[in-house]
Amino acid sequence: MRYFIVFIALLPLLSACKKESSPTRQLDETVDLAKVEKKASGEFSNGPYGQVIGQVRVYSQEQDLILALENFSSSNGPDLKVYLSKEETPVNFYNLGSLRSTRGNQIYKIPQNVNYKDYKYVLVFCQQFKHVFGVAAITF
Amino acid sequence: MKRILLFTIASFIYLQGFSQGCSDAGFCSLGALKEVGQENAQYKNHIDFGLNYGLGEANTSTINPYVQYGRNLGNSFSILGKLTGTYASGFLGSKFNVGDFYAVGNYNLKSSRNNWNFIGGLKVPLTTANDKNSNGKPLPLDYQSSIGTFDLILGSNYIYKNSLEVDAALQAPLAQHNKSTFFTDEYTDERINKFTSTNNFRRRADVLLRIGYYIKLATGVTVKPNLLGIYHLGKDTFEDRTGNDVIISGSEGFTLNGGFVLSKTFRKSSRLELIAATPFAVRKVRPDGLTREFAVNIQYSIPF
Repeated sequence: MRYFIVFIALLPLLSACKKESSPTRQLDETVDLAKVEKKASGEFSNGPYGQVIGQVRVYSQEQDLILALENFSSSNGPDLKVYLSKEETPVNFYNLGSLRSTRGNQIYKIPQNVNYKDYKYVLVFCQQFKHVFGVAAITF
Repeated sequence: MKRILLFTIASFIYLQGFSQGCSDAGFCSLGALKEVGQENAQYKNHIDFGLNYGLGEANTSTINPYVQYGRNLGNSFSILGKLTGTYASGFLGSKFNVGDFYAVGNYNLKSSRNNWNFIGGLKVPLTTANDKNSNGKPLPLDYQSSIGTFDLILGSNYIYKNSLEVDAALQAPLAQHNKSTFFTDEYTDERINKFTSTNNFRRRADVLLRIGYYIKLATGVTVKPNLLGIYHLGKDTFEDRTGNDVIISGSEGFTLNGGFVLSKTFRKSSRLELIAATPFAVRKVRPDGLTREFAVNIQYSIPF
């Protein structure tokens, strides 16, 4: 029984030794300003659980809509996503996917079936722990 | 006897050509539901080291090391703790992590000719099934070391006249701690379509029925061909990009597997066990990442 208890007591050490995190490499994904039309923009401010700076721009390029994070930087987290959201804390939202990096310019495609005008905010959101890291209110 | 062995081995090789999945959520390979023969009453404890290799969807290789410790508490009752890990590699990258912890109690009713075990226990996930690859992208459940569910496991193992074995068991999620954020459309490689989106995946229960037959070949050498049926009791779900639940059609249903166990007991009662298994019939959609085209397992047990 002694061995069994020791065995169980060691388990938290095994599961606690890993920490997930978002990529941190510097990105520089940009749009060709001559080929796009700016549709909306906003500025990030810190959320309750993180520090985020940078600008949000929504561009149209032919049939496509692109969300660009420019001069972007975010504190790291275990599971950061980019959300279009109707609220500052997401209830009605569209998940654009994993944050590609915590640093640099990066672009995300907005699917054609999503009306970006329905969403007032862009969030950097930790999905696993439901923590808002950064909020940008969008003006159209 | 040689014919039986040759037929079994040939069947595995032949069936591997078109089989697509084998679904063990954990209970198929746990305690009395897997072991060959009985624990040696001379010893109170045993520790087992094992390694499982499987080939999954899109040629994803999984290597699952495990260690388990068991202790007899009197003549009829025993406990077992099992810790698993997974190294998975495929075209999306490779990943190692600890998997699940199992704590199981076993009650044994034994007569001179028959043997009846009742097991009950819990599976505790040690991860949330949200490991990423080197680019920070979420990986499918096939690459995850646990599917993130706290499960209740109940089962019975009956061995008639030391030869015919019948197992029946239930593995039911009590709480779901799966935090997967995997969407297939985050990748452009066409092979990603072998997988299913599993963002905040919710899994249903399984039941199993296994029939096996013990054949003693020589002193200390036993083989056990067996048939294993697993029924997945409902349709699994995931959350789409707007947070709404999506039912995964075809994720419920029956899997039929064939297995072959070879066991050799050495002096001082240590034991080597080899298992090969492959499916004959599978569920249409297998989002939980437990799919294996075939699986082999080696385990060495040391009583003390």
